[in-house]
Amino acid sequence: MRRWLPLIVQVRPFSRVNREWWAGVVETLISALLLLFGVILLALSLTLAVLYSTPDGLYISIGHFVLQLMVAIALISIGAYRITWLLWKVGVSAERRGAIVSRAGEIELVNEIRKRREDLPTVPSDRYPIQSGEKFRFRLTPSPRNVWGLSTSGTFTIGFLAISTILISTSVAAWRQGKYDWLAIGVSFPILLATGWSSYQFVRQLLKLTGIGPTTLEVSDYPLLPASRLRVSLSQTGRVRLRLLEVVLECAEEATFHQGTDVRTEKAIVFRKRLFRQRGISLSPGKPFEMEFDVQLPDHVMHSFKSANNRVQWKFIVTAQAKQWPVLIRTFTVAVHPPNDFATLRGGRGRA
Amino acid sequence: MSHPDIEIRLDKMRYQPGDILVAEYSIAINRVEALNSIISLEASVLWETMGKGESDIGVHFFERKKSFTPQTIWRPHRISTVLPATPLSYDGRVLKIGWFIRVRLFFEDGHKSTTNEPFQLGNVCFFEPLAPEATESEEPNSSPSH
Repeated sequence: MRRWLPLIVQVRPFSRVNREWWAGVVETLISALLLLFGVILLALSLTLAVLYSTPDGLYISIGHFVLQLMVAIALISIGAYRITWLLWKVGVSAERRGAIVSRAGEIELVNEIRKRREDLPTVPSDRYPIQSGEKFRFRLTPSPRNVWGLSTSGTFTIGFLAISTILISTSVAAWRQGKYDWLAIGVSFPILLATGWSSYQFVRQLLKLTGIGPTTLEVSDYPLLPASRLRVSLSQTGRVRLRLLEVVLECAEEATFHQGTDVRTEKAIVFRKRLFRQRGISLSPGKPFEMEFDVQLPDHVMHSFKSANNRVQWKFIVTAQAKQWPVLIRTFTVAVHPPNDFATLRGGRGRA
Repeated sequence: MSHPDIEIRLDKMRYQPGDILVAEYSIAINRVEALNSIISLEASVLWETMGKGESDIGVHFFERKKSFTPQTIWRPHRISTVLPATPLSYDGRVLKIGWFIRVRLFFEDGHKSTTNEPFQLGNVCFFEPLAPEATESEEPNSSPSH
């Protein structure tokens, strides 16, 4: 909570700019709470059914029990659906959501790029497909965000919450019968602490992923060529005030090797050029920050390369820093072709 | 048993993608017994990665010869191939990509004799050391459209 309190105190919470940000935070928190209440209700219903039911029947009518289960499952489903939708909404721009529905134009674009790459052995294909842009012809696709932290903390939260609900309801049931289940009470404390910590981490991860909206990069030419000059359009949406927004172009070599039984990868950044940097940017959902700038690639640079154990990778890296917010880094891998497009070249000949 | 000498001659040392590489290799054998012990001969044009990572290889041209007479083994053997667009020769920090003509002789006793002749494809230059980044006030050629 320490990270979020200064935000609440320092910003003007109900200014027009921040209203939508708060709406998003509340939406995120409500979704998380629905999911967690659903887990508590499910665990409680099942525990009470086990504790108080007799061979003759349940402690409540079948209808009530089924209703409890249905409400619990509904809460879990709605919470999970809303969280998934929030992640989708902030991870994918409105244009892209629309484009995914109708992709005919993009298929043509992808085929065109693929055709140019057919005669370039060892130049890797685009990991994420290039799409049609609005400002410029090519829209780059960012590498997917890491949702492992969210899924891990979410899984732990649900597990600990279910266990602590069972332990507490068992303790209360024993207390109502005039007994003290010391084992359940003793175990409850560390489990409750773990539940609180994992819940905090879960909500933090959720806010981290949903606080800063999608980043869009469009380029005037693609693939990139040595000595070429191209125009880049950056668009950043979100709900926070950024202390810093930066875009760099980077080329890195990666070499994978075995060391004993371990497989290690060594990385060396061989080229890094800052393309854009600005401080103090206010983001609001209805009005993304937009900027255009030029990129000039040096002469005779190495093209993108990939073999089984080695790689040369070019990428745009967008870094956004907001006060009291984890640093956001989004990468857009791009293909750099050799200086001339040898579209008519064919592979080697030989006799075996 | 003394192994024969393999000599590879290239028409030039630097090529561009799409160029026709023409090379000759010859095998100097002094004794007929040595000739009889050769099982096969392989000639290839290939690239290979070197550096920190495990080595990767890509064969662009390959030929294998099995039956020899003194006349066929002594005369120069010619290779001709159109060079591909990639990968270009590269001398990086943890990765290097080299192009070679490789000739190998395989003998009856299990031994093999290998000769590599390197050449350069393309003219990729190694990056200069990373320069300090521009100061914050520098925003080259940027135009806001906010």
